[in-house]
Amino acid sequence: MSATLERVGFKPGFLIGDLSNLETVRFSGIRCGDCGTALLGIRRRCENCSSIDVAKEVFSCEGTIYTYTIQRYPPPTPFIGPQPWIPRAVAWIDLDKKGPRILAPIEGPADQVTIGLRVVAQFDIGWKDERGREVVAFSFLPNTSSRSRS
Amino acid sequence: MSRAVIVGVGMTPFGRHPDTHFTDLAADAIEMALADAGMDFREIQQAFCSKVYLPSATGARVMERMGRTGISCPDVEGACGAAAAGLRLAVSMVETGQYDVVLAFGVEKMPKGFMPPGQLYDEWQCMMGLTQNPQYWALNAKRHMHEYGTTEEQIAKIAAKAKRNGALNPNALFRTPMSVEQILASPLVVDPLRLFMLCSPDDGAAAVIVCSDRIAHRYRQKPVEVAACVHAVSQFPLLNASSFCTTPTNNPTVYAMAARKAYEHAGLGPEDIDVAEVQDNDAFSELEYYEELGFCPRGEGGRFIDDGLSELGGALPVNPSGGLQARGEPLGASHYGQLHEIVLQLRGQAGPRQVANAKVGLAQVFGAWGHCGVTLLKSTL
Repeated sequence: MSATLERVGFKPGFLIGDLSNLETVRFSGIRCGDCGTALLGIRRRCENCSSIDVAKEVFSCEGTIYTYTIQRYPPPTPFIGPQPWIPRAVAWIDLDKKGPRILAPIEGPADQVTIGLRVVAQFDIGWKDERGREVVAFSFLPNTSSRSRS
Repeated sequence: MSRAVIVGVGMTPFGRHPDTHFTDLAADAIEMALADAGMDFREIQQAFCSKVYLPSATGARVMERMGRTGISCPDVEGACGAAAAGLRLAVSMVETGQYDVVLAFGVEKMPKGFMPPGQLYDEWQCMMGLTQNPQYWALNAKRHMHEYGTTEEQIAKIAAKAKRNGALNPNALFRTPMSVEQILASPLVVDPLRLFMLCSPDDGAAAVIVCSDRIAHRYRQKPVEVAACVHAVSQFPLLNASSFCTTPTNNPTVYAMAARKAYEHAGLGPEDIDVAEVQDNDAFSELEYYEELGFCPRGEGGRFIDDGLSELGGALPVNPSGGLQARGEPLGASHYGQLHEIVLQLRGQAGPRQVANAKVGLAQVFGAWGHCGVTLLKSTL
């Protein structure tokens, strides 16, 4: 069995690329031909306007923090985090090129996260599912090669 | 078409009831509503039970306590908005003349701490730790502070108001007044929200008896009219709770949409509201709802609390009961708990929390996946 068969994305249709080579992984979804809304995941209808005029799109991995918070306590189980817990930032991120606004954990020191911070996605193995497959999940890192804007 | 009026309300204290079975909690609230109305349970023609975490057939199990009279009593689930969905069914049945007397009640028993995420989120959201409910409100709060200059002190003032009002409410879980300084000294949970700015899920039950205005004179309390009862699931994007993708659109928020529908149905506007109970999962959300429900313009929620307008004695007291922050939130019962307060206010029976000359009251709930309810009640005098 090849490595790719033993890996799955965190949710079907939300990631595209070769899961055995995480460098190639991107967010995938649709854009509505009627209202222009960008949505994560492969869908039959637009979640905004219910149109069936939707086209697949691969979204940018870069984006800007719209707003954020810091989780000062560990989230409830089944989440497993570092012990003792290290406060972690979680943010809504506007992906570039009119991509969707998505919720994600931000890696690195939480107190350096700000609204307008430029960030870039990274894909990694998050956990194993009940069938023992590795699940590819995502987080974002400050994007040092790209300037901030609010 | 009949008009629907509320002739009886009852609630257990919201809090910790570890030794009371949920059927007994619900039966206690129903008995209080029956006694309030001066009604026998055998007059109830239909019942709706709102609950979220309790097991299947919760309502039917409660009938075991009340007497199996053969009426229909399905469960109505809609996250924290479950009771708004239940009330709407009760009201429609009375308005369309199907029945004259319908019982709407809710009950829940919740563990302490962050809510168990498995029932409200996908597995991957749980595994990634994106399931701390207050984080969604915190994200909105941070953005509001960035755009409008809202301050932590303003958010803390709303928390202090909740504690102050809760101290006057024998049905509240938290009854100890707390200063703005004490609230700002409590630990951060999800920035900028601190421990004493958050509501706690808890246990409790509440019930309202909806009846046709044609027969309301048979009962002992002055009836309160249900002027509007709206329940909706949010349009895209879902800005709060359980969402992963909130790409902006031009759609109104579900709070603004539900409120507009309710105001239109009742022929009322925000300027007519004398008292309100809103979904203060946290102190910031209350500030946001001042704006969303039209009590003040967008961006001016902070000034609304600075000016004392939402305090008891202010122009539009909000959460005189102490709200969710003081009462805690037994999900299925929560909106009925709000209606209990509004009904007492409109009857002039709210004791030390009484809002002078309250004639029109609003209650609003919001829950996971976009469930929102707005109910408008009107004094019939």
